[in-house]
Amino acid sequence: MNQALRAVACAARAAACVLWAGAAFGADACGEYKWDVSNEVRLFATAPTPLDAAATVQAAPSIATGTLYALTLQPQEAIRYAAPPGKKQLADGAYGGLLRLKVARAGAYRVAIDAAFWLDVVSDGRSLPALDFNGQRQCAGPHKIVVYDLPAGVELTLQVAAASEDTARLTVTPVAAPGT
Amino acid sequence: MPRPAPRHLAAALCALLPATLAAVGTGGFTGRVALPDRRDPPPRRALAPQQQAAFDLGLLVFNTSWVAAGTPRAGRRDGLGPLYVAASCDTCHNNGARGRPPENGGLSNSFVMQLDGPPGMPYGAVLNTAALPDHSREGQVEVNWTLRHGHYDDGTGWTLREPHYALTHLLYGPPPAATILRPRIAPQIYGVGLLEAVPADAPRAIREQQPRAVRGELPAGRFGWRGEVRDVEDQTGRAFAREMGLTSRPRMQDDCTATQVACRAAPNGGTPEVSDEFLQAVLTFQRELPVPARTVLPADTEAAGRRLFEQTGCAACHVLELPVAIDGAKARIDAGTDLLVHDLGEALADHRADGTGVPVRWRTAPLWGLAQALQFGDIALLHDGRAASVEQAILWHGGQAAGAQRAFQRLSATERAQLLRWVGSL
Repeated sequence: MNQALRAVACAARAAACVLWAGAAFGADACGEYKWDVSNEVRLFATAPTPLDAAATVQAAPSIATGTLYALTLQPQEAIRYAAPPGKKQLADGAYGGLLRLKVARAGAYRVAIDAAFWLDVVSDGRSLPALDFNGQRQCAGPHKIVVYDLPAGVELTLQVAAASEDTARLTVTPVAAPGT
Repeated sequence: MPRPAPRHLAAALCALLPATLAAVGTGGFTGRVALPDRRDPPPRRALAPQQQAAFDLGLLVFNTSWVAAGTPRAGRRDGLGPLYVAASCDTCHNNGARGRPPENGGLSNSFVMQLDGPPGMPYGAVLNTAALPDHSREGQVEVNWTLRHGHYDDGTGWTLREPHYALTHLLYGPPPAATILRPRIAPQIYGVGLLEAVPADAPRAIREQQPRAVRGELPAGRFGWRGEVRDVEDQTGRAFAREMGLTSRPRMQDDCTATQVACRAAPNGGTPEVSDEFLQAVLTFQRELPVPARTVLPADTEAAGRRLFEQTGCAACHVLELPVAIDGAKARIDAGTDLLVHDLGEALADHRADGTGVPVRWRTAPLWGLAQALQFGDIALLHDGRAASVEQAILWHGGQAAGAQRAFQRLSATERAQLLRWVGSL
């Protein structure tokens, strides 16, 4: 009996049961996101653009939507953030960095990352509230996605904090339609 | 002798406190604070500078993701795993709140499968679903949902979703058939210091007043879904060790079993990995964390909801006033629990690996904090988060709570709405 059939049989006979399968995790957990993330998954499969995240707002490089970046991050103690990171955490051994972002069209955008770290989008010294977030650490592409409502034509600072490693991949994409 | 009404119970219970304590205030309950920014909560009371510093540090520790032993520059927060479920306290208890609901029909990110197996079992106390590089996670939990349908006495239909769990991709194969699987969602942290401060005599006094049919039992501890955990320090030590793979003074062994040679041989992040300073800080943070303020209801709505809560029998176990003794002073809390354990019926039982049910006595879950949980959207109630609303949670009650559940089902639609609105304001 294959695993799927065993799962059905098992679930049908008891409220809890045990299945055994091989050591590999087969199903792609990207499908477990509460939205359709096929656009992000497609981008994360492309060759990334290398980019050094900066330690100051003045030195922050600009990023564009619809592009996968491979970021090199800075030791967090060297970073001068535009606004305090929204989640207070120990900075021991942490990495972070600053990026600039300006979008032509106002609306909801998703920032997707492949590692565990804290994100803030700062406008004029104030962090924008996140509209929503979701995470799937088993996903081979983005592990976490945060949704922001971004204004058009405004110079924004994308802040990364509390990363455990000094590299990360990141994309910013417009939300195709409400609720997706 | 007539049985005291529930609203008079707190006054009776407070009489149990030492006479040297100040009189119980007749005003509001203690510990409730408005939380405009859940990410940066204030303590529930003014603290001395040293305590405030510990609270602030505790918030940092609570939020911080731990990393592998030996990670450069991360000496104070290294030692994660090598097997674990989550890398930070905040992953499951996000901003101190209860675990988030399942998404897309899957499991909540705040979920853990506890395993209660015989000695020598290759798995530890939880199924570790994550591992550091060069180590293998122990397995995966999958859930299928089926629907249960019913109707109220007025004919209105209701639907419950019932989870069916399966352990898959098991590294050592199936656990012994007798192993008890205990699916659990993270409880909220709010108010745990106040629950700890309830005098030991109070639950006993409540129990003596409860009708025989709903009379609870005194659990071994004050926390945990079955009341099996002694206190906040015990719970914190367990969570560090089992869910995060971190040793701390209360638990100097993580969840590696004798079978897991590589896990036991992995480098550690110190002895213990969570320093005493960090442990005390995160304990202070949890104990001083307030409970979010209640929603203020119109007076008539408040009165009607509370009356129905008492009339249906909910208040017999979800006791609305408890005494606390804090630094020599008396106060009252409105936690909505009797701190006793009760049989809630077969539908909520845990199960062995072979699928047979295991009766469980559940500690009455505190109801405070529900207002904030509802304010922030979807909620996940009961021990595994299966109930997506207060209404569903009530309908799952059976066993000693079957009478209250039936009384709820007999209410009119208007009365049910009044009761649910009131519970949702707590």
